[in-house]
Amino acid sequence: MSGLHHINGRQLMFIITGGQVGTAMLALPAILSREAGQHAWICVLLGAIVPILNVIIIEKLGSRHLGLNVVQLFQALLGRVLGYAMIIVFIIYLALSAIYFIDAFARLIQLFMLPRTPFWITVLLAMVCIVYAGSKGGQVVGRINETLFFGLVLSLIAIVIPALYHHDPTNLLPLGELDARELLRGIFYSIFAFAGTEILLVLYSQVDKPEQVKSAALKGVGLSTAAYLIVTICCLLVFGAERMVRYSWPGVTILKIAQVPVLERLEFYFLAIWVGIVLRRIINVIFSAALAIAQLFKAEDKIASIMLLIGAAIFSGSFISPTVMQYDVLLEYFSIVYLLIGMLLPLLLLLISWFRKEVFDVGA
Amino acid sequence: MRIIPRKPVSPPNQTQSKSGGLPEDPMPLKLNDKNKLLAPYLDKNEDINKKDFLLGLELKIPARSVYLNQVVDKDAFQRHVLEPLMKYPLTVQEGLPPALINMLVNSGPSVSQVQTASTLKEIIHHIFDGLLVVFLDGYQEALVIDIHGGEFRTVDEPPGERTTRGPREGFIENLDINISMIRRRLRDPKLVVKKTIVGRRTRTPVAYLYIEDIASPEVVENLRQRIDAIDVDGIVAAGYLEQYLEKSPWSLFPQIFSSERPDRLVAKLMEGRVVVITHGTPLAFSVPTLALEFFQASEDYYERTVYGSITRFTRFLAFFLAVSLPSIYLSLFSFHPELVPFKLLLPVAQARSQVPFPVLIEVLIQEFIIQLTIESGLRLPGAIGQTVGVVAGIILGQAAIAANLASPAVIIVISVTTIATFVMPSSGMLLASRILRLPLILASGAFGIYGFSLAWLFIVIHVCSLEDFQTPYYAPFAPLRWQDLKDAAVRVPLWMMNKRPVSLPVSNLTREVKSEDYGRNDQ
Repeated sequence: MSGLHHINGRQLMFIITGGQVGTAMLALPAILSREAGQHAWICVLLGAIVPILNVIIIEKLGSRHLGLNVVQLFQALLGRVLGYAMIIVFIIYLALSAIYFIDAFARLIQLFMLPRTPFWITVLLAMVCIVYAGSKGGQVVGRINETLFFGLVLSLIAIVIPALYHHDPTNLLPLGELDARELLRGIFYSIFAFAGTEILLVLYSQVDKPEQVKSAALKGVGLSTAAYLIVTICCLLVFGAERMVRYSWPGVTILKIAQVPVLERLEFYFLAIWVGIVLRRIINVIFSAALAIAQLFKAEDKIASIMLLIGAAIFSGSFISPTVMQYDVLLEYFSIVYLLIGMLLPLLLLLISWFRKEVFDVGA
Repeated sequence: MRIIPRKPVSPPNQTQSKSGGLPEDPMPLKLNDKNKLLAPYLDKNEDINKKDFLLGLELKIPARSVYLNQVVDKDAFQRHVLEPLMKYPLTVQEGLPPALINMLVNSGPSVSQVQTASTLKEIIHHIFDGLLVVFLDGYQEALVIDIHGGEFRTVDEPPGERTTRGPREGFIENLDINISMIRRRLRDPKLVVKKTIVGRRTRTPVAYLYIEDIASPEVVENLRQRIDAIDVDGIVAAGYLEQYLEKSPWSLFPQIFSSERPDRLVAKLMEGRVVVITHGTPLAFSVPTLALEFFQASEDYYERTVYGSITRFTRFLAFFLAVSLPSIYLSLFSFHPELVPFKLLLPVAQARSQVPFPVLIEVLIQEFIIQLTIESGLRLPGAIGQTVGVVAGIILGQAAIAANLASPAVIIVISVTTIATFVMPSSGMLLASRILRLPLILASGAFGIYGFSLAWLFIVIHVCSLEDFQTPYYAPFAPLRWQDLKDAAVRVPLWMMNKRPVSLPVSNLTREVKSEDYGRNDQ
C-alpha cells in the first residue's frame, strides 16, 4: 500500500459522507416532495438502504480479496482483458459522475452567486481547487474530508434555524396515506442523491485497517442519511410538500425566510460553506478515478499528473452541459447508470468471487 | 550590561565541526616554529591577544598564551591560569618532564575545563571558538583552557511574549545561559543536551534538547541528520537554521514553533518535542510543530481554565477575522448587498456613495496603508513608532474620510482586522495572517463569496498537506485526534490532560501516572 494514499477508518467515514452529500442537499426535498408529498422523508430513509447494501457488498468483496487494489480485483475476478475493460468503464463512470456534479455545482454558483461570470471560469476555478486537493494524495484528501465535515454540520445548523422559527408540524401529516408507486419513485430519486459509496471499491485497499471498513463506511452512510433527512424534514416543516414543489432549490430558499438577529439572513454563511461541501464530493470522486488510473498504470506516485490530466478532461467535458431545466431528466439517467455500475457491478463481482470460492489475502 | 561567566561552547569531541579547509598538520615542538605556523591565521587579527611568559618556578619553559580579546575572562586568566602556570613547581634537576602536558591538565590551571590539542586545525578552531590556548616550547600538544567571559545582555522579560502571571524570564543571546534556564526548570536527568556547530565560517554553536524517555528517537535522529547536513558558510541567527530545517519553504504558514520564553519550551519538551537553541539569538524553537501551537499562549495555562479557554477561542476567531474580514466586507458590498441587513446597508451605502473608488480598490488602498504603518511602527524606536501609529490610525483615517477617499466602514473593517492580527501570540502566524488576507481580498474582489470560499478551501487543503517529522501540521483537527482536542480551540483543566498529545510521535504517552480528582469530590 502506498503511504501517500493511506487513510484511516475515521477518514473513510468522512470520505463516504463527503462522497454522498453535495448539490442534492439543496434540491432533493423538492424532487422527493413532488413524488411522495409529505412522505419525502420516508423516501430518504428507504433510499439509504441501497447505499447500505452497496457498502456491505463492496466490503464483502474487499475482505475476500485483501491486499488487492481495484484494478487487481477486477482482473482477478473478470480476467485480464475483461477486467481491464471494466475498470476503464468504471473510471469513465466516475469521471462522468464528476462532470455531472461539477456542472450542477457551477450552474448553482451562477444562479446564486455569480450570474455574470462566464460558466467556464466558474468551472475552471473549481477544477483548480479540486486538482490541487487530489494531487496531494489520499492522506490529504482524507484530512480535507475530516475538516469539511464540520462545514456540513454548520450548514445543517443554518438550515435547522429557520425551521425552529417557522415550522408547522402538520406539514408532515397525514402519515398513513402512502401510495406505493409514488413512494417507489421517490426512493428511486433519492438513491442517486446517495451515489458515492461506489468509490469504496477504489478506497478499500487504502484503508490501514480493513476490519474498520464496514463500520466506517456504514457510519458514513448514516451521516449522509441524517444530513439529507434533516434538510428534507426542515424543508417540509417550513414549506409543506405542496408549496415546496414550487421551489427548485428549497435548501437555499429556506434560508431566505429566517431573520437572525444581527446577521439577518443566513444565505451568505451557508453558501460560503456549501461551496466546500460540494467540492468535497467532487474531490472524492475525481480522486478515486485518478487513483484507479494510477493503479492501472502502476503509477501511484504520479497522482498529481494524473489529477491534472483528469481535471483537464473533466473541465472539457463540463462544456457538454445541459441547462438547469434538463437536470431532472439527467438525474433519471444517472440513477440508472449508478444502479448498473455503482451497485450491480460490485454485486456481480461478489457473485463471481463466491462462485469461484476463492479468497485472496496478499497481506497474509 | 553585566559580565556573565560563560561555559564552554563544547568540548571538541562532542562537536561535529565542519573544517572550513584548515590543514590537519601536527604542531611543531619549538615555540618559534609554532608562532610561525600560526602567524598567517593570527597576526592579521588585532583582537587576538598573545602573551609570552615563562612556565615554572625554577625551570623556566618559554610559553605563549593566545586568546580572543573580550571573549576570555581576563581576571580568570590572570588568577587561575597565568599565576598557577608561572608558579608551577618545576625544578632544574628534574629537567623537562615528558608528561608535563598531562600534569598541567590535572594540576596546572585552577579551572575545571582543561584539555589538549595537537593539530593546527584543532588549535585554530579553539582560538576562534573563544578558548584560551597555551603553547609550550618543546611540546607538541597545547593546553586548551575554557575561561569564557565577556559581556552579555542580562536576562530580561521577553518583549514579544509578555505575560501577567507567568515567569518574566526570556532567553538571551548566550547559548549556555539559555540552556541553563531550561535546566533550572527541568531538573530531569533524562533531559539530554546535545551540541553541535553549524556554519563553516560562523561556527555557530547549536544545541538540541530532548527528554530521553519521552521524545521519539526517530524525530531526534531525523533532526540531528538535518542539522548535520547543513553545510553552509554561516548561520547568523536561529531564523537561518529554521529555514534550513523546514520542509515546505514556500508555504505562508510557519512550520517551526519558536519562543523567547524558557517556560514555554520546557512545556514543549515535556510534551515530547525536541528544542533547538542557537547561540546568538534570544529564542529557541521546537519540533515537531502543529498549527495549533501558534494559537496557544503560556498565559492559557497559567490562568484558570475558563479564562484560558475563552482567550484561546478568541484567538481562533481573531485569526479568522484577521484573514477574512476585509474579504467578507468586499463580498457582501460588491457582490451580494441583498444579503446585508437593510439597516446596516443604508448608512454604509450612503457613506460609500461619496467615495470615487470601487470597494476592492478602497480596501486595497487602506490595507496597503495599514501594512506600511505596521512596518514603520515595528522598525522605529518605541515612542516614534507609537506616534506614527497614532498619526496613521487617527489623523490619516479621519483625513481620508473627510476627503472622501475612504468610507468609515472600510476604516473600521481594516482597523478591526489589524487589531485581530495582533491578537496572535506568535509572530509566525501573525505574519501569515497579514499575508493571507491579500489573496482572499483579491479572490473576493473578483468572485465574491465563491472566491472567498475557494480561497479558504485552498488554505485548508494546503494546511492539511503540510507534514513534517512524521507529524501532520493540522492535527488534531485533521487527522482528527479526539484526545488532543482537550487542548485545542478550548482547553480542559490541567489535571484532565493526563496524556501527552497523540498527534506527536512520542515514546511515552502518559503524563500523569494515576488520574486523580485532587480532592474535588471530598465531602
